Amino acid sequence: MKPRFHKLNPGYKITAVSRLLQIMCLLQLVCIAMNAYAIEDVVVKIAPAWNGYFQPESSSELGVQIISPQGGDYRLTLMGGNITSHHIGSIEADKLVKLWIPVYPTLNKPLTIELYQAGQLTFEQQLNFISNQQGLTATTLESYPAESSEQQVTVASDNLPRTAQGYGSIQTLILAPSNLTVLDDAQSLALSHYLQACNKLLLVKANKDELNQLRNIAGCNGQAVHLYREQPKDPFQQTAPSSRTLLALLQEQKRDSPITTLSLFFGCYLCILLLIPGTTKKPTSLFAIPILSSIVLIALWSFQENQTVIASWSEVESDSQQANFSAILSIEGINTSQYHLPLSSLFSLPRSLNNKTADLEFNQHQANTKQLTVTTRPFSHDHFFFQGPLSISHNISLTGSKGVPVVINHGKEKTAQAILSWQGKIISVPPLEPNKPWSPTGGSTIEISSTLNSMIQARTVADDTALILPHSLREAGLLPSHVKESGWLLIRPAT
Amino acid sequence: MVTDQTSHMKQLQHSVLIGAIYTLPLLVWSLLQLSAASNHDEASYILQSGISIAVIAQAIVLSLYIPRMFDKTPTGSSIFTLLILISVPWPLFTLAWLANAIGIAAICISQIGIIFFALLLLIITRVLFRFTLQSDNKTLALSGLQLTAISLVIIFPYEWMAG
Repeated sequence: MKPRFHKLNPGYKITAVSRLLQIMCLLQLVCIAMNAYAIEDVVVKIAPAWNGYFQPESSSELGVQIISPQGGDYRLTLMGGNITSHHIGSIEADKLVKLWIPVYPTLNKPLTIELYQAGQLTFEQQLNFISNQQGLTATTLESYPAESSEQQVTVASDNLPRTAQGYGSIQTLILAPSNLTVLDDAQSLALSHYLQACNKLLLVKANKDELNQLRNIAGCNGQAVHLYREQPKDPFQQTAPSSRTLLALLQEQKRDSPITTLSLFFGCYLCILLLIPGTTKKPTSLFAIPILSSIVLIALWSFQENQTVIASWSEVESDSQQANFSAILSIEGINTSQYHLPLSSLFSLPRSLNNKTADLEFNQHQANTKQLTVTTRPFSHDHFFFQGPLSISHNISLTGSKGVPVVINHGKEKTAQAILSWQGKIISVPPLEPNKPWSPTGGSTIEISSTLNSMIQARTVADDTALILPHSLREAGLLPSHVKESGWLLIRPAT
Repeated sequence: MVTDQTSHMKQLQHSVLIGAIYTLPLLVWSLLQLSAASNHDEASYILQSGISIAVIAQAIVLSLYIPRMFDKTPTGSSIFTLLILISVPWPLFTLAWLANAIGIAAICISQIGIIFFALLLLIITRVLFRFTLQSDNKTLALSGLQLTAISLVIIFPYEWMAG
């Protein structure tokens, strides 16, 4: 009997060798095609802010320039600290794309930068930042050195940061007014946020008008802005609330603890275990108690959700709409799951307080451009710290920083109950009617929680006057609805 | 028959009570430790420790209980009583599994091992009852069995938890 293939292909012998050669040729063609599809010659330039210097536990900025022969979507991943950030966007072929990305450099750990296009890794680099514990003095003018013991970094005007976080490591900034004229919009905004956060600026070759102009922009009534030659011996310093003080505010929030639920469950279980045997005559019911209890526990556990709470503290001058805020986000894990939290433009870069790893995604293609993803596990407690500028609209004016303060509600609705700190006393402020001035004469002092009291004393100086109002980031549309929050706004009088 | 059923129910009630006695301190300790745990790893370690202690406690309780309680009880009833005694801490095991502290396989293997240990003790007890007719010899033999079983548990504590 002849083999079948002879019938199919009469006169043509297919041998094993020729079949192998055909397969090899096909594989070579596939390899050539894949290589032709590989994206090459992608040019990426990385430039850290401040020549790579940073202060530990402070933010900085990374400038990234990309030119790729192939357009399309890209993903830029930065890994170094506990937060891995992913920046997703689109680029056009052979067109320069510039990005300025806030980062939290980590001590003794390089930052790894990877660029992916069409699923391929087209660029990879590691970058080491240089840490300086004392903080940095940044200047655009070499001939005006820092007088303090801080490390001095000299940069050109067009290399000043374009994000608020870029100034995170800077203790003092030395500039001339002429430097400000060459700044683009992003740099101007970042610098204004730096000044609004009551950070120190020394002006060189500036007159009084230029000084006052910048003092009007700056927070804390411009007390941190001076002429270089007139630096005060005791410089004004105001730091943002630390994460430790905010943790105390957070702990005041009542949350359903899983331990409470578990204690109740096991308490009931033991009571049933001790009571049922005496009342039942069915042996199987005794064996059913532990099994049914385990099933009930599984059901209870599956209905529990991760608990998220945020505590925030914002500060603003009475005549300003630009506040500075600090916030702590706390996530108590119940289940092993990926917890996604959409962040507004406000919460640009968190810092993990307990070395928790998380992913932060910036996606230009989505409406919620920023998203924090945390892997939760049962009994995990994760805290993330945010700081930065905040645009708020408040209708309160507070005057009388030296004498008796006067509070006026310029809004259309009553304010919430507030607290006035004046002459070392804590005074209750009733809900204020629109356009009716209120003064604390005859106002009653109140007892407030020790945490809030400590917070107010830490944020005000001796006889300073300040109004403290409950403030909701959720009502301002800056938080999703399922996140519980506790927030306060401190308003200082305008000068 | 009624007397047998009554004594069987009493035995079951005793086993539930004994199960509650050795489970209660474990539950209190575990919940107190969990309330102070600051992260998942600490909580896992606490639950793993609790489960290890629970398994060893099961083995010790079985070693003490079986030789004294099963002279005339039918085998089926004895096994049922032992299962009840072993099953009392199972909700704690369930919690450890839900919290990803221990895998379900490790829990099942350890409990199957405990059940086999209980059956082995039961068989040895019945054999000793059959072959020691005088009460003095019976007491001595059962005490020896208890000591031997407890010694094995104490000398090889880690073998009771699989994985």
